[in-house]
Amino acid sequence: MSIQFRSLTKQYRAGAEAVRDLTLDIVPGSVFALMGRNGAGKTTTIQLLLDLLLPTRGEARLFGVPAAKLCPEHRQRLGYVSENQRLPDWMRVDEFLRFLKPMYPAWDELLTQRLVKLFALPMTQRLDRLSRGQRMKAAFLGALCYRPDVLVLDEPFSGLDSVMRQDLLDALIEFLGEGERTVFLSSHDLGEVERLADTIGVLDHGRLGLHGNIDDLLSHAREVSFLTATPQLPADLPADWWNPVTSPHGTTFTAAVVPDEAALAAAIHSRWPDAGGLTIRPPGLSRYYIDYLRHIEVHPLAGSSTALPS
Amino acid sequence: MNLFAIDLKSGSPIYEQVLYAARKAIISGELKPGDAFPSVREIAAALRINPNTVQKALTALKAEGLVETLPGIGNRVCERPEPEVAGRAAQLDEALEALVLRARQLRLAAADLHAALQDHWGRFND
Repeated sequence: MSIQFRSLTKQYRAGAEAVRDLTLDIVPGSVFALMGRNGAGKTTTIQLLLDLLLPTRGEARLFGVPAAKLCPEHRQRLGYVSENQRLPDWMRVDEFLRFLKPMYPAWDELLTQRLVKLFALPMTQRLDRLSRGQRMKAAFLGALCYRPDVLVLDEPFSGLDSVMRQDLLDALIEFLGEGERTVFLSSHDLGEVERLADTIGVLDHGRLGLHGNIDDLLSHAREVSFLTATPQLPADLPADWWNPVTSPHGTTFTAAVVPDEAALAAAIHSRWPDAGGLTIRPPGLSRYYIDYLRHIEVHPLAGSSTALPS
Repeated sequence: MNLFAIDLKSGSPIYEQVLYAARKAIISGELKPGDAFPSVREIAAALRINPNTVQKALTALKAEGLVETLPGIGNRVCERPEPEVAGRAAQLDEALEALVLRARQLRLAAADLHAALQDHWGRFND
């Protein structure tokens, strides 16, 4: 296992727990996206993983070693890019790359040149004169050029325009295609998560809720919509029908675990005998995720974390 | 349908979209038996999606007998054996049931469904 969390808990002084009892294994070679609303504990989790923060209880392990015991040999196999990356601002881009290169035996000069070209970075510009997007690209350069086995990205796309996102996505897809790479990223950007990640985990108030392989989760779920003249939702809706909303323009929800579409259709018709124009289809990630977030607003997570489907 | 030109939509799972586009390209005859089928990396880069997702779709295509991987050469569209007559209808049974269910949900008449089927049938050139 390249990344493991064991009962990881972080409580800031006199505050609520920012991360609560997180236990999770990241499959090597997978791209894991940590999702959740602002303040859910995503950045804290990443900082604990990289030993930038001390846990209150439990531990995060990287390459089989507790984060606090990471040595330079491990760091040489680890890349990290954060939306608020601290960079040596007084350096020019070319100086920054020359500064990093000796620290990483696996640094690849050809790859560096290719990425510099792809990112169209001005080599003689000081880092503090770069735009936000260019700074992120410089940070990516500093993390990708030695082909780390594990890449940790904290909100890598936040605040970037579409062209910048596309360039970063291109570089990341190429990186993933080169071999077994494990990526742990936190992100709000559903479009990018959907393209990059194969596994997701959702944090809510520091607790891990829904988690699993995206294709598995989506293949068990269905997006439902239909028309009905009944203005009120029936009282006896199953607990895994997330975020039922009814309006004159249609009634919608996400059914999280659907073994059988015909049974789902029957369950709908028994509650709404006048249901018309019924549509049942696999949801995209964004619809699924947003309906889940709305669901846990109304039904907060219980003590232990849950995985769906079982 | 050019596999590289598919426009991924956010409304449905990406894996399903890739698999669907590839099946359609092969079954419609746009990709012919013996044609080269793009590599995982080519498809991942062109569509800007995780190579693991593409690999999974490729595995499904191979299991369906639509694509094969030749060592040292790459991926290729398979020659498709004629399914045994008795097995043909049975293979479609589940898909047909889903189609009929959907049509009934939409309160379509059987004749409307027949007409729509004919229309789609005609879009593929044999």
